[in-house]
Amino acid sequence: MKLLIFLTVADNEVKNISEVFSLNTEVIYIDDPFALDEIRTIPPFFKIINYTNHRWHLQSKLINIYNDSSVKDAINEIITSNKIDNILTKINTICSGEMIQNRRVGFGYKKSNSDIVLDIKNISTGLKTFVILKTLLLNGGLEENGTIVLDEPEIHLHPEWQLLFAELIVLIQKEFGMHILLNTHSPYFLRAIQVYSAKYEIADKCKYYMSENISDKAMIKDVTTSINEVYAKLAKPLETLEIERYSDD
Amino acid sequence: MINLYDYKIFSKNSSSLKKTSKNDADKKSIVYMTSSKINVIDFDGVKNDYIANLKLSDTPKSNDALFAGKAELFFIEFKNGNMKNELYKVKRKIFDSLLIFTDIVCKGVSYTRQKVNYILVYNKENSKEYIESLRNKLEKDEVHDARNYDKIMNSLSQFANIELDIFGLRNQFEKLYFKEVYTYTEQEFEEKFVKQYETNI
Repeated sequence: MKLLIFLTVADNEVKNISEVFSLNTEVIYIDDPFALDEIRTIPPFFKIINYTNHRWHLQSKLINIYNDSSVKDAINEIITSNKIDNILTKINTICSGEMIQNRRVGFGYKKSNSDIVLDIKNISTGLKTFVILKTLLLNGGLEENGTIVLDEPEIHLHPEWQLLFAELIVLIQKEFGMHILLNTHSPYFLRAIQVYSAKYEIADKCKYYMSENISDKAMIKDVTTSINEVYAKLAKPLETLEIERYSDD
Repeated sequence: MINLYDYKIFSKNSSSLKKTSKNDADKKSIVYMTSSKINVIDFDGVKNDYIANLKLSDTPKSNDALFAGKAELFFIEFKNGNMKNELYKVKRKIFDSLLIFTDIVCKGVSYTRQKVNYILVYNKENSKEYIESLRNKLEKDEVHDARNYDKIMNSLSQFANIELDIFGLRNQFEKLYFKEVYTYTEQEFEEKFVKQYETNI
């Protein structure tokens, strides 16, 4: 079914939407691994109904497992069906532990084969990225055909971990059929998405866009088959530095 | 070190680097990946002579050239075009060439491990058909080449002073069958190999 929607935008605000419709699946927006630092149990009487704040929404998805046993059962079913086995095995190479709720520290990170629980705030920021993804996987936060929005997921990750994160994103798309929207400034991450989407045979489902500022307007260009243009932009700073190095000024 | 030209099968296949770099897959446009006149042994010719009386139903594959430096030998393979479907062929050429070479000189791989190097000279796919196909939708298992990505990769490897092993050949063969394994673009091959050995002719 195709639906035509008219949006009226003025003064940076949406003034009117011609046809209001709701998506059948949820959108999870992961913009910053520091979202984990503010995580806390939400009392049942304060349940978030209207997710106006994407961080609250993400946090509520992350702590879901502790409140809903039916979700737990469903997840166990998915795990036993090997659906996410491959993804978990890969995450475990970096993040073998799990997020747990603990009376002493509140939310903590418990390493596998160890009783030590670290306050979730104190684990490295790179690791937090993987903990978020693993927790969402384990507590059913990722829905079949759902949507994830990732804002520069490479932030805080060493290039080697960027490659692994990109592989996980590709596998999640393949296994769950999720719609994944992400932006990046990292040539490592971009290339990894290209290579892993080809490796897992979903490259034909990927679209690449480049945003350019042209006289105060952002132009979005489809560069799916001319991705070289993106790398040109990412290579430019290296050239700038070399020019700087040999400049007489 | 053995003198290759003491072996008749090698000396009768004496050739030039340019000739062994010839790619005539497309008869209408014959491509040479180097114009160097350095003397080498045409190893495809060696292979053909080696199997001449064996009545084989399948022909072994072979590296393009064998070059004798002062103290070391070099197998050289030229590959023009998309490597995606070619890598397994490159590896088969390595195995077949090593077996033929070690049989001819009556030495084992413990000798090649100390005295023989391997160079793959490759070229990014740039045929008209390939460039044309990029305008269409991506295939499900396709990664488009991006010249500017290579630029970033090369800059970083230069800063680090490392030679990239982009097809994993060094990882697989160095210190096992070859002393050293190099993967060069045409341009790198000219700078790092041809220039060095042309002055020694």
